[in-house]
Amino acid sequence: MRRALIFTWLLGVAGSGLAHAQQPAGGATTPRPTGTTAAQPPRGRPAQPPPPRRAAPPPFGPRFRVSVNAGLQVAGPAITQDFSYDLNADQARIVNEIATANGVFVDVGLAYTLTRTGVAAGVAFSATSRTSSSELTAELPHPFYFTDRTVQATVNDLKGSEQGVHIFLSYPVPRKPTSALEVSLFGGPSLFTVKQDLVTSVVTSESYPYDDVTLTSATLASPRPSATAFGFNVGTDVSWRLTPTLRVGGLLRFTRGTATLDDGFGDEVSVDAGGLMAGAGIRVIF
Amino acid sequence: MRVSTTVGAVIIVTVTMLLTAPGPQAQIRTMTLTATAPADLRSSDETVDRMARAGELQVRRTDVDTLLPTRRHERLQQFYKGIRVYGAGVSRQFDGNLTVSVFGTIYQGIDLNVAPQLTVGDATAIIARESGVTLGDNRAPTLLILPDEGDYRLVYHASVFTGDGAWEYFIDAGNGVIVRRLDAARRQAAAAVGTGTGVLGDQKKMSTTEVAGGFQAADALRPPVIRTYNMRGDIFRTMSIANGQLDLLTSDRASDGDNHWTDTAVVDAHAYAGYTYDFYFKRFGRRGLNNANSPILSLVHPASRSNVFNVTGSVLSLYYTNAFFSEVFGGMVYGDGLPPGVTVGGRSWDYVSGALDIVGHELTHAVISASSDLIYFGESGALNESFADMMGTAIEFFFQPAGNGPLRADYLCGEDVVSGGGLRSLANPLAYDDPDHYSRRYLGPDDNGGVHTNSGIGNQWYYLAIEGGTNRTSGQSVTGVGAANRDQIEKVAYRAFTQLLAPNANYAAARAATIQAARDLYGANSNAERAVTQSWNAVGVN
Repeated sequence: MRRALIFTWLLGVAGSGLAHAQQPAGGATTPRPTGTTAAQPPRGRPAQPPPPRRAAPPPFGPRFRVSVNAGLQVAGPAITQDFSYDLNADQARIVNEIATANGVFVDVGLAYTLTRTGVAAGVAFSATSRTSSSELTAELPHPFYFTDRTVQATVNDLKGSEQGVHIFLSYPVPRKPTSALEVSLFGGPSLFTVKQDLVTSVVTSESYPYDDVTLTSATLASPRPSATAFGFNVGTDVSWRLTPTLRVGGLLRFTRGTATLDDGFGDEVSVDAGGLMAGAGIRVIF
Repeated sequence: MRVSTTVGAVIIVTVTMLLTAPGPQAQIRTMTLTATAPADLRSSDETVDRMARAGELQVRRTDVDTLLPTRRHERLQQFYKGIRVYGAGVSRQFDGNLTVSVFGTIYQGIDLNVAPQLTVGDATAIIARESGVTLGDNRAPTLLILPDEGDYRLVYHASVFTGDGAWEYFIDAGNGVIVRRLDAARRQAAAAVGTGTGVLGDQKKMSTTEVAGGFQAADALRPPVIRTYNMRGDIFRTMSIANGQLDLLTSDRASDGDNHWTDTAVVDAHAYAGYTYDFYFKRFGRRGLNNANSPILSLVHPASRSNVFNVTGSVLSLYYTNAFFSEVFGGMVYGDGLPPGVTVGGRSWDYVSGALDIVGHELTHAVISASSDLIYFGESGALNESFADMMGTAIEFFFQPAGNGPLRADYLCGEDVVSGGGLRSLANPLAYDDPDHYSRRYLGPDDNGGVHTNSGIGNQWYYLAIEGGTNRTSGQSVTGVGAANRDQIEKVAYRAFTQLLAPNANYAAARAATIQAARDLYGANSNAERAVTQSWNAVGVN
């Protein structure tokens, strides 16, 4: 736990967004002569032919960009639990469809410009959490006969969270140097940590003759099941220059990874991590 | 008590005075109450109320009607100077405050000194001398007035289990003469949550209780105590328990180490006791044998198969090829059957508890005992047996798919454990030498007046009322309610034997009571009433 927190803190400080080399507004090129006030060669000295003009390589501007975004992460596919356990000398079966609701995400990134053309590498950290409900169907064996009682219920307040570390290379879409609009495309691998409430059994209320059963509550795995998974991220970042060091922009990122959660009883649940993330925020260039 | 004015047609004559035994000593006068019509109900009601005020009738119990919510049923027992009159009583049905029906028999003209010359100890000694069994304190003989041989007698009454069978003794409280001895075993005439294998190799669940080191056959899920005991072939201990000399111990309970039970006799006795409780609850809303969740106790392996060649015929027929309900200890005893390859009368017998209909039959005897208490003699005894057969069959159809062969519901009794088609047939009693018509009834003294024979008449009535068809003796046809509506006839029969009939009811009373029950439940002129009436006509009970 302590190690995880430290890791998270480091990511928060070093987190990245999208960045690439900036063409400074007032470039470091040689000032051009202006009118009669232009400097002249001193008299009496023979005029030297001007040295051949070489195109000066565009200088590196500020190389770092920190971005901070917040937005909506579109829910991925429902999570399906399907497991059995011993009950009444038979097997009870639980099918639990957890609806994955859209969630708010925050994203902090740090990028470092690698080339004068603005290609950058970076890392971003995203986090989202959600509370959702599930539709649970339980087939519970009758205590006296080899028949099942089927009961359905909605399980509310299921907590889920997801943290992603997204490593990327970004490439700026060519633009006029004077343009305040900047668009870049990026992609790379992602690492997800998924936590999700999972049902492990149900608590029922029943009485003789036990032909009907009422679900009174669902028992959740504790601690909340957690798993990591590798995946990928692709997306685009669009930003608008406000000042030489501050931009505002939007982020559209799609990530995907598949994590396998264990409910603590050996029953595995496949969870699609990531999804479409749409957010907006600021970019600080330095 | 107001008399109902809502009840329809007159059924039959209500009050009859019978002089049943001619001669100078003849003093028995019987008043038979069979009232369902307003005029008859009024007079019957007045009679019952007057006798109740005088203490001659005492309310034995009042039951709510589980099938008709507004109805309740009152059972009254006749007393003379505080002594119970054997077989005498009235059942009265109410709808709110309105009397709907009155059935019963009241003995009149009793003039008897009720001070016994013999003590309870004397009677116990007589029984011990006759049976070889000394009854325990809680099975001591009790006084009652027995209508017998045209006169009333003050007698001691007790039930005893012996190696020769189970017997009810009636001992004259004046001179110690044994007035009557009846077979006390409501017997099958010729027989946990774990899992278990039944007698027929089928898997079933066992509602059990976990104890240190294993599991016991004690149902902890159903409302009543349902326990199954393994007597381990100890016939003497079985009899001692049945006679109240010994109590059942926890160590007698059938047990298993891993809750995967392999003693097939235990498995079926225990599981089927639960099934029978379930049937009565789900079909009729009844809570167990006495409708108050009295314990259901089953004893298996009462005798050892390995000793079958060393026992008397009576022991063989009671503890091997039989099953019986004993009022004495309030439990069932299921015979062990015969070793493989051994036959009796050309028939092989498996563990008797392996037949669901037999278990249902025996437990129904307990239901009858706790309700109408049909006397196990003569026509009332035949009705007792017949209603038990009906319910045993009904339970089969409730839990098993219809068909022929093992674990299939049919109209045969005991066919799953007795080779050659079982013990009786409701569809064709004649095939088993049982009467299918009242005119063919057995009138001899054997088998308590042919209780297992004359049950064929009632059994045929039940079959025809459901399935329809033609009675082989009368040639009369019946339009039954159909198999899909079998619950109607089941409820009619149940209502009759639990709530309407009195202890000494005969077939005529059964006809009247079942017709009344059909009207109560399904209305006058309903298909059920028509089927019930036609079927009684067909079997010659008019």
